[in-house]
Amino acid sequence: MWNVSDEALVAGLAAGDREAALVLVRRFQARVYGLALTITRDRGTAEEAAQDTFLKAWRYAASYDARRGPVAAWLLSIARNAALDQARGRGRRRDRPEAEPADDVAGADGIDSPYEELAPLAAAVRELPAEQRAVLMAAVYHGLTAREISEAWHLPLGTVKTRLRLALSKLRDAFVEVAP
Amino acid sequence: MSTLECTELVDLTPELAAGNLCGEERAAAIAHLESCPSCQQVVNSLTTVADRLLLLSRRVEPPAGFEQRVLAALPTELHSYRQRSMSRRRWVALIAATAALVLTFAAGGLLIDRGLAGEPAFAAAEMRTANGDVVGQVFLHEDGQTSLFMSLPGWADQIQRYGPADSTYSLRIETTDGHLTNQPVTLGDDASWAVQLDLDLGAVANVAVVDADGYVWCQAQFA
Repeated sequence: MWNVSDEALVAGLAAGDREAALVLVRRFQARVYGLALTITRDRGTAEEAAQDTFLKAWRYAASYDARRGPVAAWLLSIARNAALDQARGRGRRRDRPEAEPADDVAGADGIDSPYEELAPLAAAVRELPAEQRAVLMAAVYHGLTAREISEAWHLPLGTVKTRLRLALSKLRDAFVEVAP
Repeated sequence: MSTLECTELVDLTPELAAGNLCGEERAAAIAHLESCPSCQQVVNSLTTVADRLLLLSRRVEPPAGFEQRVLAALPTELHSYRQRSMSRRRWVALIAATAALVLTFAAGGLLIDRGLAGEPAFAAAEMRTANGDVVGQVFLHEDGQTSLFMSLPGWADQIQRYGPADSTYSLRIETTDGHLTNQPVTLGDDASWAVQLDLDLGAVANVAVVDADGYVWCQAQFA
């Protein structure tokens, strides 16, 4: 059970197997909680969001489609939405992210072995101009719309959209080079 | 809802990829993507990047006892219908088939493993609409008795877009000798369903979701 693939664990959840759920939680809890903490900036709220993430994974496991991406991406996408919901409920969502955006992303040495192919993506994030990286992190991690960023940071809306488009395009080019 | 041109979609693409586009703008963007493969490709590639960015987030161990709290919070009744029809041994067997599906579906949308005499057998096929869109999968597993497990993650979208709100749906199973049976389908939020069949796995030719008028919403071909 401890060595089965991520996809097999999700199939286990879909079949209602609690042991599979335990393994999945142990395997991903640091990643899920870390993302939730990055978004909510509050340990209690992050734990609630992380718990909610695994409950949703349990409930919707049957809808996971391996062709659309790895389990980790599916789970973290749920975690992001759960954390944004929790933060929104506590009136924190529209806060400007407090930490420097670069702190939200692991360095190349912090990437786990199953995701070594993401190292070039992490490097590309760090090479982005600071203003593009800030907008990218606000949008992808903190769920802020371009208009919200524009209003919070007193920037023209067009400037925010351009920065976000440029940042995503650069990262796509870096990612495509290693994962065609 | 307004119809967008490709040049207008470009402006919305980054926010759509980041998952932050809402309301009418999102609906208009999705409507455009349904008929524009080139914009679809761009959005898919940017969405993949945004999703992978989340994998770069910091790892932080949660407070002690987190996993016990999660397990204690898992509802026990949620999957009861699955547990009735699919034992632990069966899902372990099913995941072996699932792993192979990723490759096999790409090659043609159908996997059949009859197994050796006395061993479990599997079959899986994609659920497709009349347009050929894949909206889910059907798994068949035979180990003494045949179980059918259907997952339709695209179901909610299909019904919301085209279906009558008050219609009832059933699963129509056609055997290789042309015999038809209908079973009422109740799909939960996760759009999955499981049932045991009084059929050999090899006897199942086609599985379809049909409405009260007999209209086929999607079907999976096994033979």
